[in-house]
Amino acid sequence: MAINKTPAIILHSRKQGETSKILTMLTEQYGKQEVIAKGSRSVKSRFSGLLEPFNHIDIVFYRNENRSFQYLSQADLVEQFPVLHEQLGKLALAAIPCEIINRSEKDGHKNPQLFHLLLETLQALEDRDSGLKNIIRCFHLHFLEISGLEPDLAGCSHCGHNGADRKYIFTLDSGVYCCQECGQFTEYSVKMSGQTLECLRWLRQVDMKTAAGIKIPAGIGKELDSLLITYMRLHVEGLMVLRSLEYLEQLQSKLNNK
Amino acid sequence: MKYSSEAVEKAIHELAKLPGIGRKSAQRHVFFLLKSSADEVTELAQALLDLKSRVKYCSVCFNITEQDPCDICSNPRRDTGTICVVEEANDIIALENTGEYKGLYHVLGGVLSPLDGVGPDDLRIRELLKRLSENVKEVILATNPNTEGEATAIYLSKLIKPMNIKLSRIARGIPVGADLEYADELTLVRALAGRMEF
Repeated sequence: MAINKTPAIILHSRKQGETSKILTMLTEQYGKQEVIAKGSRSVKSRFSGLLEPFNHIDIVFYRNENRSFQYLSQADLVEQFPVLHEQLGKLALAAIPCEIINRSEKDGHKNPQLFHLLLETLQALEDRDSGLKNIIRCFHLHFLEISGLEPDLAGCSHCGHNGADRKYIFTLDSGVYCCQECGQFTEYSVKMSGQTLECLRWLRQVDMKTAAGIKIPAGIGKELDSLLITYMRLHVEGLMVLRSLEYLEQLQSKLNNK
Repeated sequence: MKYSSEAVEKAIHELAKLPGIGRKSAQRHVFFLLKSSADEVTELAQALLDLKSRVKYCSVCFNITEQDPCDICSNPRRDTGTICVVEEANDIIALENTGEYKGLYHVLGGVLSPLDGVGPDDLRIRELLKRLSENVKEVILATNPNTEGEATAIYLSKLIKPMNIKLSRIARGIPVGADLEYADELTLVRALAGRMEF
């Protein structure tokens, strides 16, 4: 059994027994880990307040690869995101990347790039007041890039055209697109406007905070979200059900109808 | 290993369904019951049957009760102008043990959880809002001070504030008997933010 120290972000927590918690964390050095924090729900626990979703902490844990849960020994706060916890909309959006990583990453698969992407996403959601959906779209594209599943956005697969002046057909299973004049719709293809293509290319190149600063029209945003989620669900295992997305939709409809 | 007795095997299988009890613990409990007297086992079985047949949810506050409305809701000495909103019926027991609170309760039946997909429609929020239209002066939000509990409190405050009802949140911070030295940073931040004039 090894004692390991690593930065970590809490993806999910659930109650265990009388006073303990099982935490799913994305660690920088050891990938996704399920860690049991004994007695952390007790009022006398040393780190009860630290072990909340989205918190960036330094942890010390005992790792034994034969065990399904590792034991948390120590936790120190590196960065908290108070605004994420105080605003319902931000909280709902922050849950999306955490759930995607929780569902798609295998336990113990070291992926520091993904750790830094999640950290950057949470920091951008914390700091920015507008363009929050762009931050999530940007996360989706960078997540696909890290996973080696990014769509090919260079140009039409037949003629190479890639301007915003045309309408395109995006093929979900192969991740390529072509002009409507060059190709035909199949079971796995969707319509994609030239503006949507421009937004996709642009969001892939910029960092989170720059992405948040640009306004994307609602219609284009809707097409973009639908395309990205459908593409991710088709290519990334475990994303058919995304509870955080369902929660966001329910919350938005409730608060809009209030 | 499977036992030759079908009754023993079935009892182990059923007990192992309980939270925190694995097959090994279930085996120990079954052997304890086998060694107990017939009266003791009958009492346990009857208690479990009564649990399902007699216990129900109060139609007003959703506390667990044998009579509807529950003892708290039907007590004329309770302050009907104050409602304390809690996550689960267990929380009522903890608050009642203090002997300090004299108002009524409302059990939400959970908390908002974006990570688990628990939304407003999954909680008893509609029923709470209906109660608030009947001469309620104060609502105390007593959900747990964690991410989900705070999110639920914030959501409820958005719905209740426009109703011109006094809204308060239970204090968060250092527990009685604890040492400041060992409190984590987030707890200390909340304790400082929620400080009171002394």
